[in-house]
Amino acid sequence: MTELTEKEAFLEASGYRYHFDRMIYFNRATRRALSLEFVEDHSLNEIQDLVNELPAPNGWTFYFNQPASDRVQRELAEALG
Amino acid sequence: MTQRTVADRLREEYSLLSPDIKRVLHQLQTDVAHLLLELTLALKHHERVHIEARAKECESAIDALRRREEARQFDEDTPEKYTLTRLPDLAALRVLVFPKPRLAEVHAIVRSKYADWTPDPVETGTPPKWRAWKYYGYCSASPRVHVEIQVVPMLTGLFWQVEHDAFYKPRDPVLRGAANKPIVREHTEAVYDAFEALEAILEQELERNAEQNPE
Repeated sequence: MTELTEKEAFLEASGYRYHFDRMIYFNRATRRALSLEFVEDHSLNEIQDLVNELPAPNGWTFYFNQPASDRVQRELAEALG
Repeated sequence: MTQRTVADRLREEYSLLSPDIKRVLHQLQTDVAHLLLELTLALKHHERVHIEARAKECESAIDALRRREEARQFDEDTPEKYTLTRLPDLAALRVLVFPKPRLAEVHAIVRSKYADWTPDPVETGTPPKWRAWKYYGYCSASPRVHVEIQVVPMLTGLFWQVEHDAFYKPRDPVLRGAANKPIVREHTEAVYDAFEALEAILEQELERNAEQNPE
């Protein structure tokens, strides 16, 4: 198993689903989404720390390498429900 | 009035670039075939050099630009930052070669003519493994359209065609997303490795045959 597939297995075990169309990992319960690029470029430890943090009280939190604009965040939040 | 989307603007740009794409592709295909003529005529019966040219279709080009965005989402507030001229492969030439010693020869000949083009070798997996030579730049036929040349081991290149037709050409974003999942990519890597090993063993056996049965 490569480090990337380990990260994927960890996210899926933590309740994250892969969005095939958008290529992001997202969790509706914690309202958190990570882009595939972000997952690729950060270590398993960093991702574990981030996933174990308490979720933001309201709205979605997006973890991207390039911060998403307000409009993109709004549209993604709508799409993710 | 309905506001035009980023994709609408890119469709318009594609129609303006379309004549340039055709011109550069024609120029590149003719130039590379000419460059490789001597080598092609000297190929032994089992050796292969195939040159394939393709213009990226409009929707594929827009998808390619969208795939550069995280979460595959254009920012509709900043349409001016998107242009198809950023794509390095609106027009592309793929040279499929067998066996490996010919691959290096073909690369050397082609690269000598396009020495100032930007190298962008195809590497896949972790740690990255070299899979093919690739470089891009401009032809004299157009200062706007980037052209890409790939020099690829034959079996790997043929698999890319199958992969492209199966996962990308149907323009099914779900299928494309599946193909990009780490677990699927890991298995794809195994296929690339297997093709390389197969090419290497074929080459070895052909050499052995040539030694045992000199012409």
